[in-house]
Amino acid sequence: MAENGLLIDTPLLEKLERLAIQWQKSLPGVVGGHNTSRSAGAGQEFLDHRQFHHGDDLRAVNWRAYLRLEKMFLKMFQLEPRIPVRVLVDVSRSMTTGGGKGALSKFDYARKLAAAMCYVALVRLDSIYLQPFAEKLGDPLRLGGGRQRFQPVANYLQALKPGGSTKFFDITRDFISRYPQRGLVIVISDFLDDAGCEKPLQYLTDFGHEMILIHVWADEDREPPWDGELDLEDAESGTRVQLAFDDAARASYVTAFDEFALELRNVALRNGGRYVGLSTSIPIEEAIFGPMVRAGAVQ
Amino acid sequence: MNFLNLSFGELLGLAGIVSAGIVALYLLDRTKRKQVVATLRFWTAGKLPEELKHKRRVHQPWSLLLQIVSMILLLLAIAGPRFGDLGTSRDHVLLLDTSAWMGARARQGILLDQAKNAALVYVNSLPLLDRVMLVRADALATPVTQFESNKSAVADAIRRSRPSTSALNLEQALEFAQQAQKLQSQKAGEIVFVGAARIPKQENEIAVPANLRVISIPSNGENVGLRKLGVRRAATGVDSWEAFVELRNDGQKAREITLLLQFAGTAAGSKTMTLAAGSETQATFVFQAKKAGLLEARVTSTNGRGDAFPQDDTAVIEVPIGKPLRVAVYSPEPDLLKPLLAGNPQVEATFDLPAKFDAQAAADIVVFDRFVPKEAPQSAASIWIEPPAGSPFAIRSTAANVKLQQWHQETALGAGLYSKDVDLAATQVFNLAPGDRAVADTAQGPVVVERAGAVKMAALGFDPVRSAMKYDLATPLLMANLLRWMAPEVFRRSDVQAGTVGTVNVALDKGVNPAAIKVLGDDQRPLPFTVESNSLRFFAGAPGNVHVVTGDRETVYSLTLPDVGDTAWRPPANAARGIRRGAMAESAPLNPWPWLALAGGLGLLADWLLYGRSRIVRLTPRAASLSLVERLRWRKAS
Repeated sequence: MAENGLLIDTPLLEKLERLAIQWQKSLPGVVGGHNTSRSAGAGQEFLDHRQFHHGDDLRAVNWRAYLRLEKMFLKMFQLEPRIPVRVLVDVSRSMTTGGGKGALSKFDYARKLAAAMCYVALVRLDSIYLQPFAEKLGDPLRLGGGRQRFQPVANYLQALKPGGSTKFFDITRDFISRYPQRGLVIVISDFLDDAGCEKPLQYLTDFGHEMILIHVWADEDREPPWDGELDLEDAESGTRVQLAFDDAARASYVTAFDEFALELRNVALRNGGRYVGLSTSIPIEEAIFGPMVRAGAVQ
Repeated sequence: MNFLNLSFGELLGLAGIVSAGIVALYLLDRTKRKQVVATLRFWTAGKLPEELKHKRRVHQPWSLLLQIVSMILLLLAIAGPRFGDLGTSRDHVLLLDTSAWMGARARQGILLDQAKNAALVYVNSLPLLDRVMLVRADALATPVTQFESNKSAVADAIRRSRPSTSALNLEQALEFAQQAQKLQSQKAGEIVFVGAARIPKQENEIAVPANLRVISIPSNGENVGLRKLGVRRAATGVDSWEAFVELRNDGQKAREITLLLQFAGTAAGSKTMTLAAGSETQATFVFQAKKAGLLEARVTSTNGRGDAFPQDDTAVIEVPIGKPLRVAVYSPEPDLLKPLLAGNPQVEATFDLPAKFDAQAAADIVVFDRFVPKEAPQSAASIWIEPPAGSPFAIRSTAANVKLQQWHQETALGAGLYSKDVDLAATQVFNLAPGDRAVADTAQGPVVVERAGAVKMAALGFDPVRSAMKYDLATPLLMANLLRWMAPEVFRRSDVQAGTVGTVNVALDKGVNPAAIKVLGDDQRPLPFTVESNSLRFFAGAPGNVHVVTGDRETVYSLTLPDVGDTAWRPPANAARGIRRGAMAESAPLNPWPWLALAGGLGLLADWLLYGRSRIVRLTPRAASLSLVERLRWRKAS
């Protein structure tokens, strides 16, 4: 755990202040954020002129142009909305695997990533909804208004306990009904749901949310290091299977995993979202300023 | 077939244990490993082999067999099997002369260097399977190695040998070698003696074994050296000492030498003399010494000839000066006792009136003449003359005009006193307390009493110098007995002699009680000794001082001179001589351990290449994850 109980240390927080969460869709939001919108509105930055119509605000009339041309033009300004950023953190039991030997578990890694994303959003005056999930959505944390509000985020993440199995379908249905306002959804998960997660994620984007999928895996999730006869137990369902594992089997396993990751990426890109795959062996700072920046999740 | 330290059965047992271990490890490696994973979807999706129902089944029998065979081959290589005729190996005893004479100068280095080289040549000339026991021979025969087939170990032991300070006891060394071959060897080989073989003069011929081989190291033999150096108090004066020196010419020619004596760095005397070949001579010096110091005797050749053995040209001993005996006399007439005590140079006496008594005064013996102090001395011995009431001795009565009838010769104080019918004008008669012994008696009772204990005391019922005994010889003898009994260490006669290491013979005075003899080393530990017909014999194997205490006499033997043999031993004609040639040409048994080791290593390598390599070579997790990240790098749509 980092100093001051903030999950991530202060030098990294200072570096994170240079970043901003990026999205591609033009989303509605409360005025006051730092994010540009294609919609014109009450902002500070000049956008364009248009003909004056009855009922327009006289304060926006370009009086200089009227004196010169004797026609009334109205100045339009760029809208800077405060977009809701919803960070979904997977707290299912499958996230607890993969720790040890100096490496973080997926759960700890996901909490650090969530903390970093929340900090970036807070600095840019976005509204934060920190939402844990496993079988269903947990109690959210709603915050906004600057970096000084980061401490509650850290406390909230530290208090999270892993448990349950992942059910993306139920989560998506619940999310859509709970958050009708479109916004940016950042999902930090291993996306291991036996029922599949591709369709629920598709539904999410169908309802207008912009999606950033951060796929977290442990090294042993992608390439198991064990040999010989194995007695395997599913961390979420408790199902057991005994098998022999050799190099040929390992190659098949890796191929299957990579295909799964590729499918997740396609789901994200197909719906205008972004996908970042991260191994827990990559340090958090390197992951944010490397793969996540390259993927366009933050800039 | 020989497996060195392992019998064939032991080797088979060891191979079985190793094989069982390999099989156990093999099966353990294949036990099912329990693991909790995030999901099972990829495991089942990979179309992996079915679950194995027999947990202990061997999956790679050829790998297991290859490992077991390889380990057995390596084990055989370690055991060092040898094939061929092993019946010709013999066990030899190598007697290396390490006596003091082997430190004599040679053309290059010392004689022992030449002996070592000869011994090494002999060891290297032996057949491969022959075993050698190295024995260092000087006054004692000391085995350095067991019967050893490892020639390099024997060679190391030979190289580590150093000359000792004692003479060669060849007879004992040969007996030891025969005994070792008889008890420990499988097939006796030769007994090889390597050295100059300088031995003490023997009355009888040395019996040599039939398998003796002698490798003689020739020596120059021209040597004049000190054999003894002794010092004792001279009768001519208090500070006079008498030193006597014994020299010997071991060479074949007469030598003119100068003997120089120094005490405390100052010349104490010198003599020039000529020693005939093989002769011994003695010289005596008298010198003055008031303090303790080192006495050094040095012999040098005046005609410039070199000395083959310089180690015995110098001898040093320490001249001891004993502490004086402090006697404090408290008497109303102190001058009366002065003649009795002042005549002894080893006594420092002080004479005072009783009023000046000091209980803390430093004194070994205190004399109370008609005086009882308030506080008696705690540690000093005391002599009470005509003690008043309150003294440690109980007075039975006072008698007048009595005759001294008897001196008890069996007591320490009465020994040697024979005066009878001495008239005593007045004397006290004592009651004997438990532990008291009467020294002199009158008809009324004891008048001289001794009391032994931690603090010795004696009481005289009359004053010898104020009685008729004043002019009797018994008076100074009685005082001498008193002082000697109370402080025997002061009057013990002490001699110091420098001698040679080894066996020392001491001539005892007549009447010496063997039970009272003590032979002590430097650390005051008793050394074993024998007494036979007025001759004491002890053995000192290393240089040092040995104290021989016989009653009132102490002799310190400073055994620092090397003990050199008197004559060179001539081996009998039937003894083999020199180093046997052509021994290495004998056929050596086949020792295939390198091939076995190579085969075992190749077997393990083949097992690793065929079965084990794929388990070890892995992609590092970090590289694997990064490669996946690279593959899934997101590209902007624009």
